[in-house]
Formats: sequence, C-alpha cells, structure tokens
Amino acid sequence: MSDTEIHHLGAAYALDALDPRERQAFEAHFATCDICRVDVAEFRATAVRLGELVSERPPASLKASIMSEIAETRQFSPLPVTQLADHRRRRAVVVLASVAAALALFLAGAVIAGRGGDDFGDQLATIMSDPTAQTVRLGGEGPGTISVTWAGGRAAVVAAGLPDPGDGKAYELWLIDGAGAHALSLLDPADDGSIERVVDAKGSPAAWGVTIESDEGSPTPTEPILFVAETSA
Amino acid sequence: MGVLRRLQARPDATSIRADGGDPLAPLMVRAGRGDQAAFGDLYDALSGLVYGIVRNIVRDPSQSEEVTQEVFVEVWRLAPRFDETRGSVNAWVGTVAHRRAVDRVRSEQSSRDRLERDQLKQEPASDVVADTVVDAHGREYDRRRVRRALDRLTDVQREAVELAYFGGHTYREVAALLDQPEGTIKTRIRDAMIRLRDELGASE
Repeated sequence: MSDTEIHHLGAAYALDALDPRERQAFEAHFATCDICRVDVAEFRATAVRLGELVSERPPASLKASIMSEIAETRQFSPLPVTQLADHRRRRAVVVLASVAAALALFLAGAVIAGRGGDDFGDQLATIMSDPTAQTVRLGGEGPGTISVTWAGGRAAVVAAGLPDPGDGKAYELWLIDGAGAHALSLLDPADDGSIERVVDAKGSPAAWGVTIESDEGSPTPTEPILFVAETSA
Repeated sequence: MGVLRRLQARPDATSIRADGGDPLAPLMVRAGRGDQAAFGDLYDALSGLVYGIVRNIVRDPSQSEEVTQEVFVEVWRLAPRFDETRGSVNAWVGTVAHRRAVDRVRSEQSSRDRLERDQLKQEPASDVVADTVVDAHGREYDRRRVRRALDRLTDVQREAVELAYFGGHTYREVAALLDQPEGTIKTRIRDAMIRLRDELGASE
C-alpha cells in the first residue's frame, strides 16, 4: 500500500470499514502520523453523530445486569505515563497502555507522536493495537526511566536518561513470573541514555525488572534490581 | 414542540453543548474513580446511543443486549484512563459500541450472509434512520442537523456511508453490494465523511 493511499483510509477506518489486515496496517501507521490521528479523531466524532440518529432505548432489565457485572469488575489503574523526548530525531514517544490503539485516542497518555514511521514505532504500534497490551513504568533508585509495553509475546522497552552501565557491563531485562526471573535481553543504551527496543517476551509477567550484568548476559540476576514494576495481571 | 420541552427540561444536556463543554465528562471522571452511581448515570445518558448503534448492526435483540453489556463493561474498565482533552465521552463510547458491534457480526456471520441480508431487505438504510424513535436525552435538535447534513450529500455518497456505518460493512463489501470499484467507494466514503465533518463540526 502506498503512503498516499494509507493516508486516505482514515474515514473508512473511523467507520470500522476496513478489513482486518488493512485495519492493522492503518493502526500501525496512524500511531505515527499526526495528520491521520487528527483525521481519525474528527471522523469518529462525526460518525458518532450518525450513531445518535439511531439511538434506541434498551430493555430496562439490561441496566441491572450491567451494574452487577461492573460491581465485580476491576478497573484498570490510571496510567503511569512515561514520556521520552529524543531530541536527536525530534520524536516524542509517549507510551501508555493496556488499550487498543483504536481506543487510545480518547484515553490519557496516548499514543506516539512522531514524524514518519520507523521500525520501532511500527512495532510498538502493533503491540499496542493488541487489546491485551499493557504498559508499566519501572520504578527504581537510579537516574533514568524505563517503561515496558507488552502483548502477544512481544515487549517494547522505552528508556531515557540511563547512565552508561560501565565497561564490560550492560542492562539486562527480566520477565518475572511464578517460576522466577527469566532473562529476556541485554539492553544497550544509546549515547544519550535512551533505549527503544522490541524483544520477544513469552509468558505472563507478574513483574518486570532491569539489572546491570556483564555484557555477555547472565541466566539469573546477580546484581540488585535497579528498576522493577509489578504488573496488574 | 418536543425540542423546546427538552431544552427546558434538560438544560444540562443542551446548553452545555452550546459552549463546547462535555456534560458527561465529570461523570466519566467520577466513574473512573470507581463511583458506580456516576457510572449508572452515564449508563442512563448513553445506553440509547450504544444500544441503538449495536442493534442497528447486530439486529438480533438478545445479541444486541450482550454486545451492549460488553461495551459498558469495557468503558467501566477503561474509565480511569479517560482524558476529556482527547474527545467527548459520546465519541469515545460510540466508537467502542460501533467497533464491538462490527466485531460481533463479522465474527458470527460471513460477509456473504450479510450482503444477502441487506440485498433481500432492499430498503435504503436511510429508512432505518427515519423510523428511529427519539430517546430521552435531548438529542432531537442535533439529529435534525445530522439529517440535514446527510441530505446534503450526493445520493451515492450517502448510500456508501450508510452501508458502511449503519450496515457495518467494510468498504469492500459496500463496493460488492453496489457493484462499484473498491477505489470509487473508498473515495465516496472519504468525501462524504469530510463533508459531514465540515457541516457538523468535528469536536463535539
């Protein structure tokens, strides 16, 4: 699909009139395209005006059924939002979570503002378009921020302001579940202390952690955990 | 007559709209803090919109109730993350409703079944619109404006948008239904949405 063509899919997207493959391609695109994000937001507001035309009162019994279900349903937590400005490439990446990109426009912390796509932005958008996607911001003592967004066996790591781990050392990302800490990947920050990486992350994380290890990696964390976050799963 | 009465009876739902605020945003904020009573009020204000959108696409009443319930449960779960600077409550909830309804029919029925259904019906979607009962939430004035805006589209534009939005069809299905090239339908939908947006204002 050409670039011009994809820009023109915003109206059909807002009407949910794309087939699944085009929908996915467009979601990956619009997360990184300011013009399309505005288009989609406006077209959706317009589409809902059409929806108002067919408003119809549901059966009275439905309210009780919904109210009893929500009384038992846990809400998502308000968002930890990590913002990273990468001045070199003049992109701002704002990561959030647990929201399909489809809905993210309306929710706090959305999405990615950027100029043009790149591999990382596209992969992040794909992860975020999964309705099960979640994001956590890892807390820690040291300087810098790290957040992880994951879904479907893939995790996107965004970090800013990390100090150089030192000669022969590297940051290592851990997926922590009931069985312990699983080494996922070494993370090598750029000169400005930023990381943008997508890694395989099979399993159901109960927590994420980051340590500094030898730059050959370690099968288990040997150093204190510098950054950690529990998931809401 | 009904319009005036509603304007008087529900000043909150109409006058606030005029100055651009979102009358439902404070309720969504409270619901986002776990306030079930506020969520109940939101339900009262939005259930007509949600059920109407869903029923129009899903058709079957009991399935429509199920989907409506899914929509409200999803809204409840996501309410803590609602950000009113990003759009109105109406637009958000209506978007969720449409998406869920479309997902339901596309997973349960082949597009061929739905195409046949719509061909057999042989009535324009605008009849569905015209016959709709007005709900109790002060939307009557708005609806006239929306109908007028729809009336100003060309016939082929209106047909394409109605089949897509109210029929829940993809633009490819619309193209097959109308026996037109896909590119033509894509363009009609886009042109129609731009005109509607310009007529109605996008940011309500």
